[in-house]
Amino acid sequence: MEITVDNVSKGFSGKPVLNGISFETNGGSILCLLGPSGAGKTTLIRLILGAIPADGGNIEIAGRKVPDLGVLQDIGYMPQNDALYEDLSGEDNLKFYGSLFRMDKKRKKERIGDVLKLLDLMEDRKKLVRYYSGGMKKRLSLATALLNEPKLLLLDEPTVGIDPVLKRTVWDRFAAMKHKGITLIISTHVMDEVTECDTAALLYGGKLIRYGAVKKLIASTDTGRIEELFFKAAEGTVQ
Amino acid sequence: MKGIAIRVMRQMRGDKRTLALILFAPILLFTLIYFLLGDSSYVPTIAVDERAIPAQVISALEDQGANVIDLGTLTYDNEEQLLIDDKSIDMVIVRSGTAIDTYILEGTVKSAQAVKALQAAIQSVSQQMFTMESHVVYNEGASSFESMGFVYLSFLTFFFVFVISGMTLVRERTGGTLERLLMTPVKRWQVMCGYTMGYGFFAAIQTVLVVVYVLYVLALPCAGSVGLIFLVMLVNAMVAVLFGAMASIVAASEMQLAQMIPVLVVPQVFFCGLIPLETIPFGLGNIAYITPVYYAAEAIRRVMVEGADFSGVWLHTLALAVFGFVLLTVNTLALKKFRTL
Ligand SMILES: Nc1ncnc2c1ncn2[C@@H]1O[C@H](COP(=O)(O)OP(=O)(O)OP(=O)(O)O)[C@@H](O)[C@H]1O
Ligand SMILES: [Mg+2]
Repeated sequence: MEITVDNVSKGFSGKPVLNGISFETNGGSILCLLGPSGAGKTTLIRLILGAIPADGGNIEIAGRKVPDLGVLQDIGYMPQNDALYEDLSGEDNLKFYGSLFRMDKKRKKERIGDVLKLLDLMEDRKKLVRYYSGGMKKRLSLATALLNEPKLLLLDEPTVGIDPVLKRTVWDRFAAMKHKGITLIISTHVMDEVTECDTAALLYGGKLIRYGAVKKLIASTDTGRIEELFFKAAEGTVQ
Repeated sequence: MKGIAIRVMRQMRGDKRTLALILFAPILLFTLIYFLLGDSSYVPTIAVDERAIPAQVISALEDQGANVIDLGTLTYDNEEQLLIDDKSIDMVIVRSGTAIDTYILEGTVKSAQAVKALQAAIQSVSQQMFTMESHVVYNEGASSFESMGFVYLSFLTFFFVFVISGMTLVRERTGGTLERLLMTPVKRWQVMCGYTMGYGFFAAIQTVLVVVYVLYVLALPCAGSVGLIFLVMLVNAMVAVLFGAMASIVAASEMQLAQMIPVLVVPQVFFCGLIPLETIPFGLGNIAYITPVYYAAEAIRRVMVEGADFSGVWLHTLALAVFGFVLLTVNTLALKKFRTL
C-alpha cells in the first residue's frame, strides 16, 4: 500500500507538534520514523491511522483519504504502550482483537496459531497477561498487530525491551514481510536500527528535517552515522 | 459487538475482585440496611412527674411499652438540664397548670419513639370521649426498611453498576486499549452496544441475585408482580452501564471518575423517593425528572407498594429506556474523541 502524507500539521492545545510534513512511501518497503523523544513520531503514526484529526494537510492510504474505516481492515497497529488486557490470557487478547476484524472463525483460529508461533508465545498463551514479562507483552502486542494479515503495518517503537537475539529475529520477520509486498512504518529512536530500513524520515522539533533512502542519507554524512544529521539540525545547519 | 461483550465477560473471570464487588457487595449492603432500618425494639425511657400526671396516663404509657421513671426520685435543676445530663432519658413530662409539658432533647429516632408512646397513651386515655384510629393505605405498620426498600433497590444497584462500568472503561482509556481497539474497522455503536451487553450481563445477574435476596430472604413485601420488578431493575442496570460509560468518556482518569460520583450519582438518591418531591423547595424537586434513578424508583415503588401492574409502570419504564437510548447515542458520538471516524 502506498501512503501519501501531504503538508500535514498538528498541534495540541495551540502548541504545534508537527509542521508541514510531506512524504510518500511505496508498498514493499520499510520506512523508519527516526527522531528524539518528543519529536512527534507517535503523533504522526496516530495521524496516519486517523486516530486524531490533522489540523491541516492531507493523508491518503492506497488512494483513500484518511480517516477511512475500510482502510483499517488492512492495517496492523502496534502502539507504543502495549494496549493489552491484563485480565485476559494472551490467547484471549488475540481472540478479542481478531473479533474486531472481519474474519471467519476458522481463519481467526489459524491466524492466532500462526502469530503465537511466530512470536514464540505458544507455551504462554493461556497465561494471564498480568503475569507476562515486559518482552512477552511487547511480542503479544506485535502479534495483535499481525493478526489480520495487514498490508500496512504501523509499529511504534516495536523493539524497545526486546532482547538482542529476539530483536534480530523480529527484524528478519519485518524484512520477510516487506518482500511479501507489505508496507512497514516503524518508529524508533535507536539510530542503529535505521540500517534495517529502506527509507528514513528524520523528525526533529516537529519538522521533517530529512527524508530519503537510508543508504543515501548515510552517504551524505561525514561519519557514516545518522546521528550526525540530528546534531547538525540542532546546530541549525540543516533547514 | 459480540466480540466486545465476550471479552468483557472473560475479563471479569480474570478479575475476581470486581466480579465479587458487582455480585455480592449489594447483598452485603442490603443486609446491613435491613438491620439498620428494620423493626426497632428500642424501649424509650420517659421521666414523668408522677404526682401531677394522672395515673391513667402513666399506666397507658407503660402499656405502650415505655420505661416510665418517676421524676420525684431524681434531683435536677430544670427539665432541659436533666435531658442534657442524663442521656438515658428520652422525654420528660411535667404539668404546669392545666397543661402537660413535654421535653425532648432533639428530634431523633429515639425521642420519636417516646413521642409515639405518649401519643398512643393519650389517645387510649381520651378514648372515652373520642375514638381515633389512623389508617395507612399502603404498607400499614411497615418498618423504614420496608417502606423505603424501593429506594435502595433502585439506587444501590444503579450505583454499583455505574462504578464498575465507569471504572473499567476509564482503565480501558488510560491503558490505551480503547484507542487500540478503535484502530480496527469496528463501528463506534458496536463498541458501545458490546460494552452494554457485556456489563449488562453481570448487571443482570446482580439484579436477579439482589431481587431474590431482598424479596425472599429479607422478606421485603411486594404487592405487585416480581416479574415487573425484574423488568424495571434490568432496564435500570443497563442505563447504569451507559451512565458509567458516559462518565468514563468525560473523565480523564480514575480519580476524575471518582470525583464525579458525588456530583452525578449520589444526588440522585434524594430524588428517587427518599424525600417526597413535593416537599423540596424552589421547585428543585423537578430535577428528579432528569435523573434516571427517579424513574426506576418510582416504577418499583408503584409495583412494590401499590401493587401496580404493567399499565401503571410502563410510562416510567419507557422513560428509563429512552434515557438508555439517549445515553447510547451520546456515548457513540462521544467516542469520536478517540477516533475521528
Ligand atoms: N494528546 C496530546 N496532548 C497534548 N500534547 C501531546 C499529546 N500527544 C503528544 N503530545 C505532545 O506532542 C509532542 C510529540 O509527542 P509524541 O508522542 O508524538 O513524541 P514521540 O516522538 O513519539 O516521542 P517518544 O520517542 O518519546 O515516544 C510532545 O511534546 C508531546 O508532549
Ligand atoms: Mg512515541
